[in-house]
Parts: sequence; C-alpha cells; structure tokens
Amino acid sequence: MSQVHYDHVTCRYAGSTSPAVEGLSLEVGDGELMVFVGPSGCGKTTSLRVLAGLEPVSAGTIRIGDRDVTEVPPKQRDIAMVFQNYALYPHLSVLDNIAFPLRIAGMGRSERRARAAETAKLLGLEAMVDRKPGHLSGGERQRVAMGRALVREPAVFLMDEPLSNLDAQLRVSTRAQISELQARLGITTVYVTHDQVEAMTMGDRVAVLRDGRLQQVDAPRVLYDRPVNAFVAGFIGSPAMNLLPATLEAGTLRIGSVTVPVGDGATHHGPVLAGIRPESIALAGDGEGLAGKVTLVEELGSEAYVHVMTELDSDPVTVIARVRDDETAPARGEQVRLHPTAGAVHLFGVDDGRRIED
Amino acid sequence: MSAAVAPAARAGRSGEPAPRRRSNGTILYVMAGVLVVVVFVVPLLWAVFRSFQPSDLVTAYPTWKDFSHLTFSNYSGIFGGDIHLWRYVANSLMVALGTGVLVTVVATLAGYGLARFRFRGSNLVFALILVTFMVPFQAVLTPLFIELGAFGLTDSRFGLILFYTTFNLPFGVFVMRNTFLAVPTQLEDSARMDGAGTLRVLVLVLRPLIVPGAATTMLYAFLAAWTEFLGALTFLTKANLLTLPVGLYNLEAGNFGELNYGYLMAGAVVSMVPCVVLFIALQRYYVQGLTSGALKG
Repeated sequence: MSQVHYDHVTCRYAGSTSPAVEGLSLEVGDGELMVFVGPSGCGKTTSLRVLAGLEPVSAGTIRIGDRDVTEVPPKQRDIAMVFQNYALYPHLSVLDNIAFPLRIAGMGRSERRARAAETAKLLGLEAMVDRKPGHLSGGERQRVAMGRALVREPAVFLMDEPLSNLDAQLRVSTRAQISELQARLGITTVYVTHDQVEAMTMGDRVAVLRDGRLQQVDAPRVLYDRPVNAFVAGFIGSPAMNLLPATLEAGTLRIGSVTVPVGDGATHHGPVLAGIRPESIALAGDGEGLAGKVTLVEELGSEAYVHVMTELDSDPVTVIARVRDDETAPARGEQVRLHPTAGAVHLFGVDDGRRIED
Repeated sequence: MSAAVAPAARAGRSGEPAPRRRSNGTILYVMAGVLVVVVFVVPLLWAVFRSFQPSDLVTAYPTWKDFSHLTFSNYSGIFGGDIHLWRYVANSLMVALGTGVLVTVVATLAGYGLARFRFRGSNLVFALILVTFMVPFQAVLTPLFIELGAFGLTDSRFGLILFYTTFNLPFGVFVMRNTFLAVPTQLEDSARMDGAGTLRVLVLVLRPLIVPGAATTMLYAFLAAWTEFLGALTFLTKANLLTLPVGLYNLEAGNFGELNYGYLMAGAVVSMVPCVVLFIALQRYYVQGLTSGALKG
C-alpha cells in the first residue's frame, strides 16, 4: 500500500512571519496521480518537499502507507523525485545517471547497468545511454530524470514542475506520456505545477493551494463545475471565470442592468460575486443584456474569445465571453450585449469568497 | 575609379575587406597587447638567458656574442658544490605542497558548510574569516613565533605549513564557498533522495563540479607558500630546513662567498619552474574557479 497522508502539516521557514504550508490535511490514494496546483508562493513545492523529507515539518505528521515518515530521512522514505531542472549529474553518462541510485544502494556494477539499460529502453533512451546530459535536449533530459527516479521502483513518485522548461508543443506530448506511464506502472504520484491546464488534464484529483492553505481537492471536473470559493473559481479554467459584482434578492440575481433567476433555494441577500464562465455568456448585437464594447478578440482557431468592456455600478469591468460555433466573432470596437445563461452562474460571498449554495 | 573604390568603402557583410577604421583599431589593440607582453615576459626571458651564461658575462654589457657563450655551469654550481640548492627546492616543495593540500581540504569542507548548512551565526563566522584578510601576517609575526615555539613547531616544516595554511585559508574558504553556491542545490537534493549521505554527496556528486574552485585554491596556496620569504626566515633557522626564497637570499647576500650573479639567475629560474608548470597544468580551472558564482553572489 502506498497511500500518502498529510495530517495537519505545517512548515514554517526560519525567520519567516507566515508559514509556507499551514494545516495541510489530505490523502493521496494508492496508485493515484494527485496534482498540487496554485500560483507562485502558494506552498505547493514546499508541500512536495516536506513529503520528500527535504524540508522539516514544523507541525503535523506525514504517513506513507501505515508508516509515519515525518522524522525519517529522505533516503529511507522509498520516494523518488523528478526536479524542475532535472538535476542530472553532468559528469555521468545517461546510463550512469539512471544507475546512480542503485550504486548508492550497493548493487553490483553489471546488475545495476542491466537494470538501468532496461529503464532507459522503457523511456526510449537506449540510443543515447553513453551521452552526457550536456549533449541532450530538454525532453531527453527530462526522460533521463524520470528514468533515474523509476529505476528505484519507489513507493511514491514526486514530480516538481517537470515540464516547465520544455517548449509548449513538447510539453503537451510529454504530459500525455507521463500520464500514460503513471497509469501503466500504477505508482502513487504527487505532481506539482503552476499550470492549471496541466493539472486538469493529468490529475486523478487536483489540490488547489493558496498562501500555504488547501482551498479544494477534487476531481478536475468537480473543481471546474463546483469551485468552493472565488479563488478556485478564478484559478481553474482558461480563460478564467468572470467574477462580477452583483446583488441577490428574492431568488433573482442582478448584474448591472441584467437580471438572472437563480432559484428559490438561495437564502442569501445582498451583494455577491457572480461567477460566470466565458462559455456561459451569450453575445448579441442588440436587444436586452449587459451593454459593452469589444476591446479584444482572441482567435484560437477552434474557438474565439472576446473581451468586452462594460460598466457595473459605474465601474468599468472587462468580461470575457466565448464565441459560439455558429456565430461570427464581433470586431474590435463593436457594441455588443452580454447575456449570462441562467443556471450557469456561481455565487460567492463578497467578504470571504466562499461559495453560496443555491 | 569611383566605382572601384565605392564597393570597398561599403565593405563588411559582403565579405570584402573591413573598413579602414576597424583595422586601425585592431592594430592598436594588438600593439598594446604586445607591449604588455613585452613588459612582463622580457625580464623573465632575460633571466633565463642570463642563467645559461658564465658569471663574468651576466653583469657585462649585453652583445650578440653572448649567445655563443651558453653554459650549464651555473646550474651545476648551485646544485653541487657547497650550495646544494636541491635541499632548498625539496623543502619548498614539501612546504608548498603541504600547504596547498591542507588549505584545499579545509577550505573545501568549510566552504561546503558555509554554503549549504543554515546555522545560527553562519554569516558572522564567514565575516570573521574574511576579516582576517585585512590583517597582514607581519603584524602578528611575533606572537605567532611565541605560539609556535610553545608548541615546539619552530624550526619545523610542519609548523611553517600550519602558518601558511592559516593565512591562506580565508581566500580558500571564500573561493570554495562561492564554488559551492554556484552548484544547484537540487543536485544534492537529488543525490539525497537517491540515498546518498552528506559525505557521498560531496565525493560522488560535487567533487567533479568543484574542481575549478579547488584548483584555484590549491594554486593560490601553493604559490603563496612557494614564494613566501619573511615567515620562512623567521620560523626556520637550521640550514637544512631552509626554503628556496631564504636560500636564494643567502646566495644574494653572499653567505656562500663572493656574489655570483650567474648562480643567482639560475636559482631564480629554478624557483620559477614549479610555478609555471603548476599554472599551465591548472590554468583551465583557474579562470573558472575565480569566476564561479560571480552571478549568484
């Protein structure tokens, strides 16, 4: 069993006024690919490093399976890690890099080279086993780093933004390879990224962190459809969800000049934040709806997004809407009307940003 | 005529000769470089040339005929006879190599600790080490003599090694700390995850990466110990323990009879040889070692 348990884990760096990670509690299931995602400084890498044993825990415990590893040194945790810049040993060949953990473990030379060669073949590296890291491309180095981690057959696999140094196209193909490999090998994996697209496409579940605190951990679809607060709502999804000041009264939501029915179950009254995904806003040239002027059209080929400048309570606000497949994108400077789709509006409290249940 | 001149005037990317302004700059640059080389190298070459001439010609006005009077007599004189320069060379080699090795080992361990381990007062410790840069050893020579005497380490090559090590360590620690700071910490994290302890990380992972810094430290300490005079003169009194700088001074001062400039030139050349050999052997690392960590600070 290779479950990972974080139990109220706090990590505070010496001299720091606030903890890097505070009260983190979550479980990673056996064989699951859990993604930690969040903006820079949210504590995702620190959370990974405390699991690796590279950072001390100030409070709480960490368990792998039934074993408390909070005070256990990294080398005894049966964990392997792929670093952001791969951390390959520049003076060793690809084969020797992959074989390094086995050498440290005391395995004989011929046996460790055979195992390393097998792992290299698994990752398509057999043609370059004698090369040094300096003679490899970014993608090849990334695979060598993975090979060095996999050769140990660890209980848990950690990956700290392994794709951030790759170009966009290579990133897409490599993340698919990682997902496929992880599923095939069934190793419990914790993956850190700041890219929410990576998180959504790769993770069995995704943990969103902010300022050292866990915001929500759920399947990608649930995070997208039912974010628990305004931060998660705005972070997950690309383009981001529109968060607009609105007023809720008697089952009706008023956003500027537009009213949207939200159902009789809503008990909250007063100012709220209305969260509307770009695909849940209809565009029209005239008629009813929120009036605004197109300031930007983003043509992505398969879809297009328009940025519309409007006013809500005399304050200028930019709203992003997706152009439907059967529509033509308006031109920049054109006047349009915005209609939020009823039933697709998420409500959040203005003070704490928490989701208001309908 | 003007058509033939115009293309040359527009030269550069088309492959035609560079404009006159650029070649003038290059000529001036080369001339300045040659001048600097002449200033530094000619005295050395002169000393080597004169070391192969009889003593009576060394101080004479130089003529072209001097090139036909080359001899090894000065070298045979200083290594044989009453002078036996071999023992001074051997003493200097022992002391300089001992200093170089000891400084490199201690500075490596100290630099690693200061670069990688967070402990209370680490910045203060580093600052105190650097402060010793500002203290010339001549100012503390007398108390050092008393201290080494108390330990029975005067008139001892080992005592001299300890003395040189003490005053060369600050630079070594500075260089090695910067060298370790230039190595990404993730390499060590990765090695630790792979199961390596601190010593194995240092030996298996970091050792090849810190060679430039270690070579710089070794070279600096060796050269400092090889050429040092006052400390050796103070702490060594027995003739069989004297180092080369003190031995050459005795030669110059005429302790071995009438001053022989031929012998002096030969002795100077002998003292240059290990420095040149070591510098050429390690020059590839020396520049890297001085500039490693320059961007990280």
